[in-house]
Amino acid sequence: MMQIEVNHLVKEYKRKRDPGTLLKALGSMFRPDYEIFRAVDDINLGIEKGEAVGYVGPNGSGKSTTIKMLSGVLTPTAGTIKIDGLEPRKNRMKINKRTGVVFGNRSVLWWDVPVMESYRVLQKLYEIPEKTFRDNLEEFIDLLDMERIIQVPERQLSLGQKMKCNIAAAFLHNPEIVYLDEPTIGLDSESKLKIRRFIQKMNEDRHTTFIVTSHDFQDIESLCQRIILINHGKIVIDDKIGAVRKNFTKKKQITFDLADNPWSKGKEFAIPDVRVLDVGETNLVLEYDVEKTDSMEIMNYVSASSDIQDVSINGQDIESIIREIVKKDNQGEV
Amino acid sequence: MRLRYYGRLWKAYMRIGLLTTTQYPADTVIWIISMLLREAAGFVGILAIASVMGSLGAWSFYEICLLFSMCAVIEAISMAFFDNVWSIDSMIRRGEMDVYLVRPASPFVQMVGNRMHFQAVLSMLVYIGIFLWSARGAHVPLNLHTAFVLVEYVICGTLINSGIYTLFNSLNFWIVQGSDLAEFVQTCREFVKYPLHVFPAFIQGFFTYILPLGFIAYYPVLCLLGKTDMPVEILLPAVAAFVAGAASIVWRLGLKGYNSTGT
Repeated sequence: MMQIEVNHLVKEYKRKRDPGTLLKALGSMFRPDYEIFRAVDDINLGIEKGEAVGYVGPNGSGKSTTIKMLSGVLTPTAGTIKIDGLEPRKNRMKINKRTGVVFGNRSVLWWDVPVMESYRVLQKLYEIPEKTFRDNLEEFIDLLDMERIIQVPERQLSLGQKMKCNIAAAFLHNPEIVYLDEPTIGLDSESKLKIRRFIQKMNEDRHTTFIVTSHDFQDIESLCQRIILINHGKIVIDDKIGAVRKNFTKKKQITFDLADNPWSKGKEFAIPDVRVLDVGETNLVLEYDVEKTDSMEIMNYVSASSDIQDVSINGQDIESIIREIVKKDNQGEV
Repeated sequence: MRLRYYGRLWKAYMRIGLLTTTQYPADTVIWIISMLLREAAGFVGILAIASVMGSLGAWSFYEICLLFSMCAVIEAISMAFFDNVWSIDSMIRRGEMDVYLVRPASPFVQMVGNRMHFQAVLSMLVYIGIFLWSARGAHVPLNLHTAFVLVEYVICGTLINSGIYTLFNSLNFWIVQGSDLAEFVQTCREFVKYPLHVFPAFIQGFFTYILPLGFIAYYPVLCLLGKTDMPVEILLPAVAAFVAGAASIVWRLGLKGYNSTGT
């Protein structure tokens, strides 16, 4: 059995239709004109214990809404969610004890008191045994480098420190599933790295299941094996990251180091469907479409006119792949 | 079992509340003074009227003080432990309710526990002083009946007062200006600092049957002074149960239909 099972999940919001004119706006006070907006449109998912899933999509695509339904904050309009066979909305207390949530833009700690005091409340809230609490705390302090900040009130912490404390807070009760909503938003690279390493370790050592939403594709790439792309409330892709990269890479970049570069002196690059991105005294950067040409053809052509000293080929990064898929998906809808 | 769990949780919240109070000593002092002034302002007016007229509705000076102090004690308790219901509005707007919904405890307990005002406990001590002094002056009998009514009164009065605040603030789940309505209700509360029988019948009826704020001071005072035949001892818990029940239903309905803001 899958740990998380989602079937035909739908969430609709009612929102007032824009009345257009002021006169109509006055009229709509008495006879409101609603339109139905589908934030999540017939989603099916299965996530296994210990999986780390990246849940990505543009703003307003329905990511947060899905996470909120999974965590029991929102009631689905239609469809079912089963977490270990239980429905989150009906078994909220039971499921909440086994899950953790990190809201990237919201702190769950008390502003005015030392972080440790907030953790003490969480200990009571989740009924964490003292030994578990102590052991976890010790490990987290070590992993996230929190020794000096744990006795400081939250208001005196930096954004990165706050986030570390909030992430540790979500793991104190040994959750089996953790939802991370933009866990590294607004952080510097040092803090991001620490947080990613921490999440990885929890996934490896404790087999904690993760669903991560992030606009930072480095988060997704370093944390997740699987990626789910959602656009306009529908799942567009659900696959291993490696497979996505393999199947959807359309363009590659090829960089040459040349002894002598005739293209910098006005020579035209004669293969169609190859774009010259950069050209210099001794270097040449090209982008080509993998469906129309290949690297051998380009290398043969270049070596015919110049001495190749070095060459490197780069595939597309996952971020630009996703961007293109979303673009295509949007065009398909219009 | 659940009760013990919430007991421990409540203690943890109280600890946070106390620590917060100690973090800002100047703030605490200002808070207490302003709270005392706010309650006293209305009271000075009543006293002025009473002294001009000689008495108010045949109530003596001490009796009016008794009414005032009991009213204030209840408000102080509500402020100390249930003040966060006034933040329902902003919590909905900022999507803070989400945090309570992903934890394994009652969202209501978490919400009110989240912020306590121990400053109000300090100002309550002042009101208890006024109460003792005026109870002596008004010759409230020192017996078991008085003790029973007072204990019942503190529990039920708090339930009625905070219940009404919770109910009206929970309207924020549906309407944008719900807290304005709740503030309006709080303003109406000024009426019950007067002996209700000086008002026309419809106002008395309003505060007895519709918005039963009469039970947070007036009727219990009547009972303590032996001025009424009404079975206040029975009515108090009945009204409290009714208000708390209504508030609980409205809160639950609101939470059920809660659509958090997208982030």
